[in-house]
Amino acid sequence: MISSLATRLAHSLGSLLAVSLLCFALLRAAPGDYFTTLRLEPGLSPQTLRSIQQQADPRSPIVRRYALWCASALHGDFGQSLAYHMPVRALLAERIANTLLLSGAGLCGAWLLGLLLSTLRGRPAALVRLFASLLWSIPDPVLAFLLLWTALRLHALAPLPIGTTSPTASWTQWSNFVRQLALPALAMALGYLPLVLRHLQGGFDAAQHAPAVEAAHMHGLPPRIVLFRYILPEAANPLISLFGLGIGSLLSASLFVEVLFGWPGLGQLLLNAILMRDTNVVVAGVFCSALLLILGNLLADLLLWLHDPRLREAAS
Amino acid sequence: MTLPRAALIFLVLYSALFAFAGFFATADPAAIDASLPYLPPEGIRFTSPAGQFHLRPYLVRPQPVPGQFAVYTRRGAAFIPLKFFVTTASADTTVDASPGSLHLCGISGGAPHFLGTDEFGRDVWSRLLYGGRTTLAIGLTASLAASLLALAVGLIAGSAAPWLDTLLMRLVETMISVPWFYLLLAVRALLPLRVSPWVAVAASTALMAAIGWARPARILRGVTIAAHQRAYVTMARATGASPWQIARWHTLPDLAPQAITQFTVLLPQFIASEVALSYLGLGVTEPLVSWGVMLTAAQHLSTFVEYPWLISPIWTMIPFFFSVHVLADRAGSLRPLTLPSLSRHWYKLPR
Repeated sequence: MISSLATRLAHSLGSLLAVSLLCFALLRAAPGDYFTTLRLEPGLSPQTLRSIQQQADPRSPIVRRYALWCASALHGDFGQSLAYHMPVRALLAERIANTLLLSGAGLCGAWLLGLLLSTLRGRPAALVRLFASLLWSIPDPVLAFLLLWTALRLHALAPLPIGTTSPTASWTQWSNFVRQLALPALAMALGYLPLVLRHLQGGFDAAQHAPAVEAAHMHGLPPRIVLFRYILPEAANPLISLFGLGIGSLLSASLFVEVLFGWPGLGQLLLNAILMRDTNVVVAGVFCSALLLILGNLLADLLLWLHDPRLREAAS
Repeated sequence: MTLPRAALIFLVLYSALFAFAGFFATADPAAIDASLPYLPPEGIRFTSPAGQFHLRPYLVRPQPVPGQFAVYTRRGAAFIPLKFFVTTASADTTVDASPGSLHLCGISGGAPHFLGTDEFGRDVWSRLLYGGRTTLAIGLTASLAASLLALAVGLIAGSAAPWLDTLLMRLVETMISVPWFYLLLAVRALLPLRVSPWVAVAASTALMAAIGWARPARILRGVTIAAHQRAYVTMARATGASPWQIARWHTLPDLAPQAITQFTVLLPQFIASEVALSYLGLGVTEPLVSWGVMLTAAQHLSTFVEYPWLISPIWTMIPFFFSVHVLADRAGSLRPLTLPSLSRHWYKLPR
């Protein structure tokens, strides 16, 4: 088991390396850079511009630049953001925290709502199915638009811009913050819900007829016990994979919602960095989100391993 | 009639609306009318101002309030008789409609605005149709290209030498370990930010196809490997069939249902991506029109609330997506009809 997990880990590291190489190559190949934009600024003299340029780019070959970048990335240092004039790490840390909060809330909401709705039986279950397929056919950007529009019609939108997230904030600041979080998080949750519901309902329906579940029913166990002790473990495999995927896409799923609701997260930062040709930020952002995606898949593998004895048996 | 069949028929009719945008549109999508900015949707009445019934419908055009910008009143609204199958003689043909082209309906002197106008007085209904044409064309082309690419890669990886398989799958794994929309944006950053509109259309299509093929390719590779383990493939190999013959006659028919499913999964994803890209200013740009371009009007929240007809592309997308999803659900259970004629393969929807 250990060696197999080690193989998986090495595999993940390999694809991470490939990903970083890919991002870096892409952005080095991009025509124009941050200085092309800076040159248009009227207040900057050519001398100042040249000195900034010399500080940022020592005109070294691309392999060296990449090696340097990798070395510093291993220390958690992604260099300096040229547009924001601050270390990329500090910039990213703040934005990543915001994004994790937003999509974490969305993910939790979707799973809770999904679990709740999928325990229904009979006519309500059919209604839920219809609701899920309707929701499924509304693409995420459109769903976000619809929610924003409804909220604006109902005057339910909390005042912008987003308030503070510091732990020392007062109670009103916190409640304001939660109110601002609610709508984008709902947009995230509703976008994710149909996928969760589909897997949950499918899994539960299939598990209903598993021998263990039928035996448990025949022994006269109460439905609640059957649900949690027999049906849920039976249906867990695809759900664990889906959960891992959800964890993995925490950083990348919310770009459009962030832009639309003005949530200062990673997606918005990445978009601005692309528009401003801020290479370091783009590479770091894509790298972090890819890292999380790979970690999420690894987590799902690990959980599956722990949950399913058949997988352990097959490997040994 | 089964639900998938109904969805298919609806989809064909609905697409025709956009394919023949020039006929159903009432105005040139780029024609500016400075006298009617933000005109609300015009009503259609079958009664004259006096209250008499008329078979020929009237278009009720609200009148601008003098001295105020984009404020209209229903009081004293003009009742304009609607004409059908009109030919335009307009000379301002900036994008598509050629002079003398046939339209489903129109009015004398101007154009009806069924869904109102935007800030430049451009007709929203016509922009919706022309925009839909752009968006759907990009989505269809990109998903077709991506699924064909995925089919080719999956087939090659599943049946070629192990080193090629490993190489291709490492590439695929690299591509799918980056979140797809982020990768799309990062590759888009390769191009100059401002390009000519047609280049932008081609670029968005090519980018989506070039990035979206990886996940379906992995699935199709799995199906190819499974197909190769069937008894009739072993039999064919034993009788000396070439790899090409096996691929053509045995593997491809096995792959087709899965490939069609992947296409129907990619299509909505790509259409939504086009909308998102154009909204973010990285996709289709003015003067071309697409659904994403139309939604950029909603970037200002106040416009969004005061002129809700500007976000009409949202409502047109939902039925399209719904029917595609209904089809996608059934495409997986398509089965090849190989008998009675082996030379052609027809696919029929299960009951």
